[in-house]
Amino acid sequence: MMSLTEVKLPDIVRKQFFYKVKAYLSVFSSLLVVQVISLLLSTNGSRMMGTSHNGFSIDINYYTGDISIVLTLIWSFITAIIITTKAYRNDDFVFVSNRVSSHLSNIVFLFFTSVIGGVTAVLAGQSFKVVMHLFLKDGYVMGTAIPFHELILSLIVSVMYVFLLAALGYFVGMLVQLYRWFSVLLPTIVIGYMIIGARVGGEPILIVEIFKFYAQETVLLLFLIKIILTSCLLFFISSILTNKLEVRQ
Amino acid sequence: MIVAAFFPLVLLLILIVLIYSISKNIGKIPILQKLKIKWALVIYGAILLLALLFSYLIPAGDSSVYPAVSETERNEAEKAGELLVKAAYDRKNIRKENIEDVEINDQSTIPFEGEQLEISVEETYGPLTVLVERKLENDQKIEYIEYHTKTIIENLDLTDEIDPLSVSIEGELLRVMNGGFKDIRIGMFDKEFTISQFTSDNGVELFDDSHHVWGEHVLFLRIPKGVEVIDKYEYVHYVKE
Repeated sequence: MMSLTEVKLPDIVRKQFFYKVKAYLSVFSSLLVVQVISLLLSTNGSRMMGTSHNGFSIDINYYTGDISIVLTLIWSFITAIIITTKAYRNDDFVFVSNRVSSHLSNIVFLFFTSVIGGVTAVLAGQSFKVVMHLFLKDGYVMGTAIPFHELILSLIVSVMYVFLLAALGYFVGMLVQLYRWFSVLLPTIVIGYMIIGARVGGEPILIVEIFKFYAQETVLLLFLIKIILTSCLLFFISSILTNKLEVRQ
Repeated sequence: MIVAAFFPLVLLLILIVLIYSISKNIGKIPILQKLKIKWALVIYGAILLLALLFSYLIPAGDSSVYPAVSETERNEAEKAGELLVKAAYDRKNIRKENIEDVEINDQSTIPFEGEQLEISVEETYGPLTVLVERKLENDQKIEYIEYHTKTIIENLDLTDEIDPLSVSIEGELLRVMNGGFKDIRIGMFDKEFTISQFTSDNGVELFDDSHHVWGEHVLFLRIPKGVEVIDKYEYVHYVKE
């Protein structure tokens, strides 16, 4: 029997998004576990500096929330890959839907998880500093507390980085769904390139250049534009790729 | 060497596998199945917000142990060190030069009746230049003044941690050595890369160098007229007459 009710795309996307938030709740519990692990790893310091002159040695341990943010980036990348798997994609067909609505709801969901991940990563870093402040011994020093405007900056930048990694994960996930052998080929290429790059030129140039393109951009507006454009491009290519997939494949 | 080079990559892979396993199997963990995930997330969020509020209440700021200095002061200390060493190499009379940010770390007078003075520089905090001024008379006293510039590690002034040089006379031997061994350990809260990317000049550095300025030391000796200086290792410069 055909339905006479016309369903609008934004309505489907909204319904699918809310459904995914409820159905994929385990995504957030894994985030919680990952961030707790990151706090434990941070207790040794994010980086260390040691130097000495004759008879005088100094060791500095730097405590930051960097590990929390980095692990959240990895979590975001993996989460995006996981939601491209067949089991998750079939969930979209609970509703009357098409590929466009499926992609859009995935993108909105990934943005939502990026906001949650990015914000909690920064806040976890702050809570780590509070805990360390209570436990640090005499002689340890307290750095300047983050001013409020820098906290906001950190939240925005963190969310954008998490979203970029989600877009990359979504692209990789779709690629692997389309061509299964990519699941072996991609890690081999990336890891192999990093090993060969590190041995031949001292550092893998392409990866260093990609790193510089985003992480050495000091103008916030340009950074936001770079992240948004790259993410849009990755999502766009992902959606084009999946046109080749059969319905419910 | 190779193991050290690939350690970050191996660590990254282990983390990816660990996080993937957590993400994939989180629903199968019995404790988490019993736990109300929604409530766990709400409580976690509340803890994070409370910690954020608390972070603005705790007495944050500079070290209670070491004085903090600005980047400008660190640059000035570096410049002062260069000027001090240059003045010593140019054999200028530092006592009369008044170089900015150069301070006296220690000074004293030692009785000396010998005719030869052998200078022995043993373990010191760093490169040491000895500058000798001959007095116009033989008053049988050696005066020494230790000039130094600030030692700044990151933004902490550790100058006071460096003890004055130990200068002593044993017969006709003048022994110069450092005041004692120091091992300092510091914990520092730093800004996350998501902030420093926009507050530093070059964004996030892939290989972040720490900033430190080791203080320069010049030992200024005023020796009695007629005393011959023996300096086997060429530490000594003589003030221009």
